[in-house]
Amino acid sequence: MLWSALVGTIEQGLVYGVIALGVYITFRILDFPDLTVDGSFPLGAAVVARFIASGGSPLAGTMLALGAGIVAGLATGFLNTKLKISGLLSGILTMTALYSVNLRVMGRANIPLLRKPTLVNWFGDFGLAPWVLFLVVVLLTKLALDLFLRTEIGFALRATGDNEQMIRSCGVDTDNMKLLGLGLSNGLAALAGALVAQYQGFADVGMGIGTAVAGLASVIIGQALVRFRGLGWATTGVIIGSIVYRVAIFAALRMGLAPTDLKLITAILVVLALSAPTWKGLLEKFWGGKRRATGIPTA
Amino acid sequence: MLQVSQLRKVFCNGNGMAKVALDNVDLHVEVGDFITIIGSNGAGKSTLLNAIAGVYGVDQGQIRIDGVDVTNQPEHRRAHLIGRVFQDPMIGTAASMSIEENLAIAVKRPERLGMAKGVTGRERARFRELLALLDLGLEDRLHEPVGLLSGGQRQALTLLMATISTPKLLLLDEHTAALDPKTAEQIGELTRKIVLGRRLTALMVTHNLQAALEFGNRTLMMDQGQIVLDLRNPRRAKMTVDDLLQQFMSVRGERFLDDRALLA
Repeated sequence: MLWSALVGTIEQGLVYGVIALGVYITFRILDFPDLTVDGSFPLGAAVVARFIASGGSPLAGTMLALGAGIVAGLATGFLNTKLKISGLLSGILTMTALYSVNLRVMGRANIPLLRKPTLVNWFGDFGLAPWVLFLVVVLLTKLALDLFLRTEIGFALRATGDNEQMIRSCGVDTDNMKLLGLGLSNGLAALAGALVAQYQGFADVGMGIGTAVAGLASVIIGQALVRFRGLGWATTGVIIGSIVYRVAIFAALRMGLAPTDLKLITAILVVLALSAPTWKGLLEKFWGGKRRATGIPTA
Repeated sequence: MLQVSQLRKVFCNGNGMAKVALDNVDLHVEVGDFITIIGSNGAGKSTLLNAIAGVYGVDQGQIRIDGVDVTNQPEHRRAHLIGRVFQDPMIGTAASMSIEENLAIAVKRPERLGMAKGVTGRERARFRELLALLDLGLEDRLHEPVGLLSGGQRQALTLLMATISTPKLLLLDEHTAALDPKTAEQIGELTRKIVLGRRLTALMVTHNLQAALEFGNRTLMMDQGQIVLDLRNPRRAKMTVDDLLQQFMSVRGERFLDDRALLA
């Protein structure tokens, strides 16, 4: 019982690791706080569910979901680079719009996929558990991303997130790089959404809430755990972070927390991690001040 | 090489106040010219360089580089013609990326980027050779992130990046001003070595009147968005720093008092 629950948790960690890799591209490499993923993740689920429910092939549906996610990312990129709307707001606008789009795609709030052909079932027919599928997908994504980040365009993408002025003066159109990064990131989020829908057996319009923050939590945990330098390690860390995050959630549930409390826990976790430098500074100041107070008499 | 004609740029602040940063500037630069530009703060020196590089559009006039009208081209489109080094050593390089990755980006300035490997073994060997010429020991630190380098090292690397693909025009915007005197001198020497050695065409903004006369073959003085003095040889060769200061005073008049601290 516990074993199968743990396997399920790791399966989730692997499939959500695909989103975490996408979040890593925007938040870490591009330095773009993209919230579009809250909409592109359920978009992927909606597209694949509608496609399969209408008799389409799961593989084609999954690819279609990937494409839809890329378009969603490009929409955010368009708002930001061409219409000059701030990055954060661009993502929120696309995410909000996607809620309606996702309902339109599905035609209702929820599509069940019971007794329908899915990629997960296909793998099951070969006697393979879902984690095999998810492991293959997340590792292929990771390796492709590692290779891509070492190409000329990959260099330009990383430099865009690091120093826009520098990369523009080297002849790179930073707008295109942002579009590329956002497209890739949201493509991955939608791909994960499509896989999750086929895994859990339904697509739901509300399944995207907190996707970006959960992805960010995974990235932060990964960076804290895997401290080796180099790109290959960074993406490995992101996947490990995603699995650890899901295990932590699982543990919290076992300890008796309500599933509805998890978003709060995740948010607090991210706040603590992001504010760590501030806390450290405050603590040092406090202790330093105290030591001074005891050491030197005040005038 | 560079033909700037009737260039005008007006900046407006939020209150609708307009400041003429470039007031119908005309400038003709020959191939191989190494021009130093002096002037007080707000004279339009950096604006001129930024306008040539395409950081912002201009309100009027034309900029031609090597015969090509680049006036309406965005910055990245004309970047293959121009190498730049900025005052802030942090701006010219990507801190989180390694020395060789930064150089690899710079060396592909004239090309379209593709899905080929970012750094090849052959490039690496070339980078090592070029870095060895800087004499800073950077040739053994190819894989280190640039963020670990000192300001002077970063500026030397930026200079190498700006010139590695032989730009038609090199723009140096007070590129030694943020460095300590000794490092500034080293970067200055390196600049001279590279510009003269590679026969580059360069514009160098400086606050240092001594350097303005020592470097290059022509000196411009700017004031209130205009080029008010254009010193060429043989007249320039006879100029001393005091002469230049006199010129500066006569141009600036009473406002000169405000500049004294800057030029000290």
